[in-house]
Amino acid sequence: MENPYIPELAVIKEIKDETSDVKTFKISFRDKKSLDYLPGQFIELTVFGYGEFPTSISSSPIPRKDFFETSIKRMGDATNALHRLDRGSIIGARGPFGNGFPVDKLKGNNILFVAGGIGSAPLRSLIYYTLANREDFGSLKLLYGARAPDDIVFKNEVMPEGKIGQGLDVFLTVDKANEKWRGHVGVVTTLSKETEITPENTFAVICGPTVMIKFAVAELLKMGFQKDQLIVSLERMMKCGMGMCGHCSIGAKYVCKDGPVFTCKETGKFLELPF
Amino acid sequence: MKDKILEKKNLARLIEHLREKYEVVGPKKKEDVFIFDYIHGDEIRLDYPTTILPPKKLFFPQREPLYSYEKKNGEVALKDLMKKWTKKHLLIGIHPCDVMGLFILDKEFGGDFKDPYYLYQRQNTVMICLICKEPTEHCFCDVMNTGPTIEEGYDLLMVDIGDRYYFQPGSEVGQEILEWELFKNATDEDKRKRDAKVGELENKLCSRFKSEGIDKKLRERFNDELWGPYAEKCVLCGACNFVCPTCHCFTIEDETNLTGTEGRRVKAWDACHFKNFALIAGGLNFRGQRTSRVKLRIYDKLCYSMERHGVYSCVGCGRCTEFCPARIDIREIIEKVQKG
Ligand SMILES: Cc1cc2nc3c(=O)[nH]c(=O)nc-3n(C[C@H](O)[C@H](O)[C@H](O)COP(=O)(O)OP(=O)(O)OC[C@H]3O[C@@H](n4cnc5c(N)ncnc54)[C@H](O)[C@@H]3O)c2cc1C
Ligand code: FES
Repeated sequence: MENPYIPELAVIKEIKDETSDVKTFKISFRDKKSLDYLPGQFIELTVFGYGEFPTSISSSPIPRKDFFETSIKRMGDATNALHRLDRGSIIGARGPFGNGFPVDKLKGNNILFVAGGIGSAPLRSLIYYTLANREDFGSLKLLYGARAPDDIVFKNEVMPEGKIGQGLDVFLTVDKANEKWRGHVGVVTTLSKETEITPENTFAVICGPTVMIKFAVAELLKMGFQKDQLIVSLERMMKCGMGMCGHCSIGAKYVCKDGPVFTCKETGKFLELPF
Repeated sequence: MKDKILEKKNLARLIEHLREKYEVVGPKKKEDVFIFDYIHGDEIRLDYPTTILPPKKLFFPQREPLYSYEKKNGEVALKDLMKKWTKKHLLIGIHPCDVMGLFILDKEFGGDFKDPYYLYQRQNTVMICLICKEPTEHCFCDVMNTGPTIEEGYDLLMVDIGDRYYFQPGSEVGQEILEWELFKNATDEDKRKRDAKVGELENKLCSRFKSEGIDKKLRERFNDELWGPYAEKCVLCGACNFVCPTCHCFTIEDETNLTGTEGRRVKAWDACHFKNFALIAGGLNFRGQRTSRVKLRIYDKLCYSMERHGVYSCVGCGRCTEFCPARIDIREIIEKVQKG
């Protein structure tokens, strides 16, 4: 029987500094196997000697490649240890886990991506996926909030001069500006007024800190979105990633296995508060 | 194959006979309590009322090494630490409620993802289930439909009928065991005594309350004031989690040497009642409130498991009540919720 607890060995191929506390790691498996995954799925990443943690895959599954990327913010033991590693270091990875975004359901619709902080990581995967199939979707808009200009992850991709540019309208905001910032200031929900978004044929995909999800959902409901048009990716404490250890439960659901992506119609039936 | 009997005086010999082929685990006395452990013929105590820990520990040990790693010259070597038993195991004396508890764990560890450690140990263990001698003052298997007898989940089912044990096979392995020379064919009189024993237990287990529909009632009462006093009374020690035959929560930890060059990853029991159970890096605690943790265990057993697996995951063994230092009685909770 296959042993889903044991990670596969993988090599860090490239490291990119995104902000002072976020790096993007390009990772390949030792045995050259490519990873089959959907945008929104995550892996359990091991830094040997320090521990294991769940992290979203931030690269797009198409076009198929022999690596995947994950963008990680330094938080505790394992994430700090990962940040100390150099190119060529060996780590472990299990997965992919989770359901991922409902890409087929999104087809034919406008999509509003709402990202906060490092929550932009799984959305990056979905955004590149939709851009690669651009004709399958209506308008694509990204509302992205960061604490400060220096905390914008994937800056050279999402800033006006950035490469995502065509095909996706990007609206950035920061909680706190610096002297160079000419853009919008305020939490991400304040952006929705400026972007001429309407609920018709639109799905909103929301990913970020739990409080941000809460406010974004409330705001979008006020604008007339229905609960099944709101798609969220939830964060919970995780250990196994496989629906066994119990840590990530919300009501009867395991976020790792049944989620992390849910519609607000689904989260409304959880009994326990999702965000 | 016909049912058999074994005279009680031959029990120790049966255990020694089984030990030739199996590692035998059964109930034995330790100081003034009973535990499941590896046993010899002279140690077995089939008159035990209940054990502190259910036999789930044989399949899902308190700490179970998963794999080891070694870092050397920039390389990493991994080694699977899954046990390989030299002999199959045989678990004798497990009560029906605990067998039903294993059915729940089978669902938790053998669903979409399979836990190979649990499944290996489970699949390589022969089960001899024993109908209880007496219900304890905390038992309510009648309410949860998990006793006093069961229809499946055993290789042999045995009942104490006075000076002998009555054995029914539940599988080919069970039938083979019954071929041993000291087993005698059961008579009609033995069968009558066996049925009488089960009937006697059913009469003794006449709980005043029912479990049917409690999942729906719990849904309606999620924000009820009923929970406040329990959240205050509970000391959140996790005892009920650990003694429960169906609690399956665990954490995954690394045991490393000082330099971090060598170590192993271990799966270890965890408890949803513990404060840090849902605490994430950065300090957000999804279960920071006592009520959230106290309710989770009750809801998981009596509501969420119905949604997940179509069954309740409380098996009525009574251990959580017996070992609760705050004297919280799950039967009282069920009764209150049912009364509405
Ligand atoms: C589905 C999912 C996707 C995620 N994607 C990303 C991502 O793309 N980029 C990123 O930077 N972070 C992501 N996180 C958060 C990331 O998992 C935590 O920051 C990380 O676990 C912290 O580990 P640590 O060892 O550094 O911290 P410690 O505080 O030392 O944590 C110890 C252990 O607790 C668990 N844990 C702690 N915090 C979290 C948490 N927030 N979520 C789940 N388990 C936790 C982990 O098992 C971790 O190993 C994601 C979390 C989830 C649940
Ligand atoms: S992380 Fe273990 S059940 Fe979800």
